[in-house]
This record gives sequence, structure tokens and C-alpha cells, in this order.
Amino acid sequence: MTLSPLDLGLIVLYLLTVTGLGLWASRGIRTSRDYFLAGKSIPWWAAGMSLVVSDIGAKDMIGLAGDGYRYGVVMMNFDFVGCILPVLLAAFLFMPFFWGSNVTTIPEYLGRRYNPSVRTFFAVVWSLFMLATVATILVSAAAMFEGLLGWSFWFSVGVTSVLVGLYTASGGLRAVVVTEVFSCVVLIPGATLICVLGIREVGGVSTLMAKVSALSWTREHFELLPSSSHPAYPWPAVVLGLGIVLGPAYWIGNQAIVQRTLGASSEDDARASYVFCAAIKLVFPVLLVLPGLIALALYAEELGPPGAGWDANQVLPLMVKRLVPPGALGILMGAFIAGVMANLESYINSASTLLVTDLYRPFVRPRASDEECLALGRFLVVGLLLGGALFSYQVKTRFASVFEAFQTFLSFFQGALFALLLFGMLTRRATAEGGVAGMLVGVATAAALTATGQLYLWTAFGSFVAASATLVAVSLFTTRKPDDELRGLVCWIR
Amino acid sequence: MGIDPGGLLVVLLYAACLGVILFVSPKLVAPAAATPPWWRNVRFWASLVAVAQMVVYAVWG
Repeated sequence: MTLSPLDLGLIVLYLLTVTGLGLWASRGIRTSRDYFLAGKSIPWWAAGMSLVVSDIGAKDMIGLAGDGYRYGVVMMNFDFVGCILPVLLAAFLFMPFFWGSNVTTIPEYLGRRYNPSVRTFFAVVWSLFMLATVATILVSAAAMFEGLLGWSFWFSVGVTSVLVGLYTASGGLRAVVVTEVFSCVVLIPGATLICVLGIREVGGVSTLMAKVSALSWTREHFELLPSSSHPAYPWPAVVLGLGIVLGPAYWIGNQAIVQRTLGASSEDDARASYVFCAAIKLVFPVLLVLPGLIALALYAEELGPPGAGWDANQVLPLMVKRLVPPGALGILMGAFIAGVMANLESYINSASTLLVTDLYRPFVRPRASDEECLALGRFLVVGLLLGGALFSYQVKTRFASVFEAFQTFLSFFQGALFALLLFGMLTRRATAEGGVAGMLVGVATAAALTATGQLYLWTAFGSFVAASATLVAVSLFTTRKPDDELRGLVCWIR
Repeated sequence: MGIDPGGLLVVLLYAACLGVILFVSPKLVAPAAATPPWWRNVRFWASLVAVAQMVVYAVWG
């Protein structure tokens, strides 16, 4: 791919602007609360845009276009069912309790609701998951820079780490949110541009539908909820696995997501930020999946039917090469880089918050001063970037599909996590022993189902059912905490 | 265009969500000093998003 000087100039301008904005937002950070929760000063619109961009990165843009080509509009359910529904429930049902309990992290809430073992378990699991995610995002960034600018893998990883580390280490959540708002503003026109150019090239929406439907292997490509015999996304698995377990667990239990609302300036702003995110997500899935269908209409002969060894990641780069004129390419690549940087900084900042709040303070230095925690948070950002960079080469060489590895690992603990959050918030009857038993049985069930080759959506659902049943059964025979200890943590006791 | 079981299930999930937004959450959230106008009412916008999704799945689900 050849870049014109205009495109190159736009990309450099974007990188400088986002780094400058991040450094500007770093002023006035004095306490760990400023650093981890932006001093509880984020307005609703900024938190809402930040929520969107924390979720959507380059791997989603490339991955969803590829899967849109392979499976069709069913992929829109990842936002329609897997995001909007849980986000609305989070705003009105769950968030008031996170907010009211004045916690910094989700494991901290679980620790207060159940016991310290549950807190530690989920803090360790989320930290490891976030480190793996940082590595994955660095691989996506490197793939982009390698293809775009001809940089080597390690040079690309190094440049991305240094740029993001510069402002994330100094500015914490406030710098992250400011740069994510800017990234959201760039992402939406970038994603729209490729759709508009593609539809124009195909000759309109009706021609697109006719061309895609004419192919022999796209029978269910326009089914939002495919038949129960669909090989990857049968509707029962989509509704039960994604809609009832994975989506809610991700949007209600993911520290990288919830931290933005905990940093909002008021409970009302936190609620409004979730609703604003849901409103943006009404259109985002269309912009992300449509390129896959456009590629089907334009390049099906060249790309061929998906089968074993077929590379889903080639779809969007091919479209960009063929459709985007000079000048516009710079804007589009700016959008990609926006996704990478925003995703990366979200996970690093949240992993640092988890490590300090849930592991360092309780276990290593219970009397640590605020200055010490602030300094450690900054140091950990650098450490996590370094760890992610070192691990990134393993991810690049060992995993064929990073997106699926990401989802599979999530399905291991999301079912148990959501069961504990749901019963913990909705009933005062869930006990600490029930929580621990539910957590262990849920994770063991997920491991067993994965070993038997189940779809990850079914694994998540099975794990949730097992964790819920165990939690309820054990809670029936053990003693619950008194109401005074549960005040602010459980519905109906405020 | 009839609605399939999957679509119906998603519509029902969103209907339950609408119930939480309109009827359950007022009991959980501290009442505001004054009711905001509709364009600043978070509950109104959330209901609109939920209804939009119910329409999507009722028509295409």
C-alpha cells in the first residue's frame, strides 16, 4: 500500500494531536483518585464516547468486517444484543450499586459483597486477561504499521508503546478519556467513509443484496438471527450465550468498561453515559459489519468462500486498497490508529488500577500512602506495556485467530462472574460460601465445556447456569451477611 | 414477514429491560429534586433506544 504525502501528513498529525491531548489532560494529577477515577470529574458525553471506543478497536474493525463476509448480519448481534441490552440494564439496575458502594474496581465490589477470596480471584484473572489483551492490541497495531509504513514488528510495537505510555502513565483515566473522545470523533467518519465508498462502488443497497444473495454459500447472510443449525451462531446460542451471559458480564463486570462510569462527575452522569453509549451503538454495528457484505458483492471471486485456512483479516485491507482515494486514506488510517491507541490505553489503565487496588493495597502494603499508590500506578503502566510488548510476539506466532482466542478466554470466567454479580446485587440471600462455590464450579464447567469443543457462546451459558445453581444451592445452607453489612451493595437495602 | 422465536425472545428481553427502566429503577434511584424536561430525561432516551431495538428484532429478527 503506497501512502501519499497528504495521507502520511494526516497520520502524523493524528498521532501528534492524540499524544498532545493526552499530555495536556495529565495536568493536575495529585492523588490516586485523580489518577484512577479522573477525580470523578468526567461529563456524561465524554464517558459515553469513551465507553464506545474502549470496546471497539482495530481488531473489531478488521475482525467484524471479516466475519461479516463470512457470516453476514448476525455479527451485528454483538452490539444489538451483546451491548445495548446489558448497557441499558447496567445504567438502571447495576450502576447505582457500584456508584453507591463508592468502589474503584469490580473485584473490590465482589470482595465487599462476598469475601476477599472472590475479590482476589477475579482481580488476578482480569489482570492476566488484560495483559494478554494488551499484547493482542500491540500485534494489531504492528500489523497495521507493517502494512502501511513498512516498519518492522518490533519497531511498530515500540513506537505504539512509547506513544501510549507517555500520556497514560502521566495522566491516568482523565488522559485516557480525553484521547478516547477524540478517537471516537475520528472513528465514526472513518468507518462511515468506507461504507459510503463501498455502497457507491456496488451500485446501491438493493444491488448489494442481490449480489450477495446470488452466491451459493450466503443463504443466511441477511438473517439477523440464523437458524438453530447455523455452524457458528445459531440463534439460541446468540440469545442465551451472548445476550444473557457474555454481553452482560462484559458490560457490567469488565473493569475497563465500568471504570469510565465510576469516574463520571455524578450518578446521573454515569447513567446518562451508558445511555449515550447505547444510542451510538444503534448505528456502529452497521458501520462495522457492512464492509464485509460490500466485499462479498465486489470481491467474492477474488476472496473466495471461507473455509479452512481462509484469512478473515484480509477483507478490510483489500477494500481499503481498492476503494479509498489518496487523502481519504489518511483519514481512514487515522481511524484505525484511533481504535488501537484507545483500546490499548483503556486496558493498561484498568489493569494498573486493578493491581494497585485489589492486590497491592490488600496484600503487599495495606498502609501504603496515596502518593505511593499513585507512583506505583504510573510505574505499572510502563511495566504492563513492557510485559505486553514482550508477550506480543508469542501472540503473533502462536495464535491463528486472536479474536476467537480473546472470546474463548472471556467465556472461561464470564459466566461465573455474571452469576456472582447478578445474585449478589439482586438478593441479600447470596452468601460468601455460595459465591466461592459458584465461582469455582462456573469456571470448572467452562473449562470442561471448552475441552469438549463446545461453541464459546454455549460454554458461557453453561458456565453461568452451573455457577448460578451452585451459588443458590450453597447459599440455602449457609448463613448470609446481616443487612447492615449489605447496605448499598444489594438492591432494596440502600 | 413473521417473527421467529429468536426474534420474539429478543423483543421480550427488551420489553423486560423497558420494564426495569420505567418501573423498577425509580424505586432504586434516589428521586431528583425536580423532574427534568423530556429532552434531559435519561429514562426517556433509554426507553427510546429499547423500543428502537424491539422494532429492529420484530421486523428483522
